[in-house]
Amino acid sequence: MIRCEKLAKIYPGPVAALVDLDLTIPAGQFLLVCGHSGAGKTTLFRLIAGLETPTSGTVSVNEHDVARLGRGGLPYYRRRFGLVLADAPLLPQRTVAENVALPLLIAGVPRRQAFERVALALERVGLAGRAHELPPTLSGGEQQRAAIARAVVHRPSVVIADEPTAQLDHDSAKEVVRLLRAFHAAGVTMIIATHDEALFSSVAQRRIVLAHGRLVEDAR
Amino acid sequence: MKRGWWEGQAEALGRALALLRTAPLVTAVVTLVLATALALPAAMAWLGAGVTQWFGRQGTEPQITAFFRQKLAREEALAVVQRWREDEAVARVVFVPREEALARLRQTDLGAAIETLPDNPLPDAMTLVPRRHAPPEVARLQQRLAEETGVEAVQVDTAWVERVHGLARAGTMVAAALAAWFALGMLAQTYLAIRLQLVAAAQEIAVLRALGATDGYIGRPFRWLGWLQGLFAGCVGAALWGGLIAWLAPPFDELARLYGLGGFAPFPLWTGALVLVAAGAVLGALGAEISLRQFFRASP
Repeated sequence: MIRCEKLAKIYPGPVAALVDLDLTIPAGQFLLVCGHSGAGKTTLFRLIAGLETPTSGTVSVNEHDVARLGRGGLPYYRRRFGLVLADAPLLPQRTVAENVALPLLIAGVPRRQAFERVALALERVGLAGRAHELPPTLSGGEQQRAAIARAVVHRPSVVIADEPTAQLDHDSAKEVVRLLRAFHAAGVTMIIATHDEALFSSVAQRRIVLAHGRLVEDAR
Repeated sequence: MKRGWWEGQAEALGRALALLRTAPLVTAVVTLVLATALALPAAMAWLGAGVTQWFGRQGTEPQITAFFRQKLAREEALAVVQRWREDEAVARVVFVPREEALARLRQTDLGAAIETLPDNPLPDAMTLVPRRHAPPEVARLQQRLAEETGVEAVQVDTAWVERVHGLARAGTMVAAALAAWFALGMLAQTYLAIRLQLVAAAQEIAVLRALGATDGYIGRPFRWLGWLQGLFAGCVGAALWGGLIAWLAPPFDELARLYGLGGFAPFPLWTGALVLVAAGAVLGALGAEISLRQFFRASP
């Protein structure tokens, strides 16, 4: 369970990206996060994933405060997550397979074993034939599927995806939703930001709306 | 199952080699700069060591002369000489009879003046060469000789000994200062090279961090990179130094032979080359470590 209490993030300027946000996400939930650009969705994701520190308030996972983890503990905390974020793109100079293998290699999985799991993950997202190509040679939809493969290959307990269907055609977007639904069915908590709520309406269990850094709607 | 330490290191080494290959020209220029920083003080040290060796061969060893009392019997003087020959603080002792001293004096400008004297005014004497040449050792020996029965006066050119030792000390200090200066330059250059690589890889590092990589994992390829750059620089530096020495050695060798000082070979080439390669690798690794620590401190 992820719990945000009085969570706030103020960037120099000052710009209040998130203001006193209270949010509890039970394990296994499929949560849709909506809101206009600049509403605070990405900041919320970065705070939950431990990529930023809050200005005030806390993020806790299973009652453990993330701020108390320190520099040594944060990397291990981040490994619980599968991320599809704009600021964690596929690395253009590494092949698709090498990109997808990163979470496993970082976690210390032996190379051979890691690439066996990568092959399975790529097969699942329909990219088995593109494993040895570089990301820039892939279409937008293929890149997004590769990013999803990287997000789930290490079997995280939570997947955070920021606009995973943005800039995809309708068929590719539906394919991405199908994949996310399949991983959710396997027990993974899903936190998805999207502008296309209709696309996820059949799978989302809860929908929250952010505006100017505040939680303005919470519907189950 | 966790993978082994070796597999992690091999992967990081592979990444480091890939980083070196991405900009071969930059790699070559950085290697050349680092190699020059290593080879120059090494060449200076080689020259300095050779010149110091010259001084050593040019009779700079201190000599102490002890003059016996005029009235001392020859047998007694020879007994004293014998005793000092057995002293372990003394390398050599030469007895100079008063007749020989007079004969030598006659061959100098004072020869005519000496002829006017009725008797030989010179005493028997002995010259000693100490085993250790450091000024305090020489002074101690001088003191012991002055207290010797039958010895009237003791004379030693301590100023000359101190001058030679001072020169050698200054030479060593200049070489050490140069080596430290260039080592600092090499550290700074490696620091900068790794820093630039870190900045160029900023996006990759951000992604790795987001995926849960520790500082150790992120830094590993860059540590290898620093070490490899230093090692390459050491090898190129050794080659440069070897070439420079091969070019400089013949004229210095000839000069040494002309002065009857044997050859000019302060230390074997391979020793210097090995030291350069090792110094390059160590300094490269150290520069990378400083750069990484600073980078991680600045980007928590």
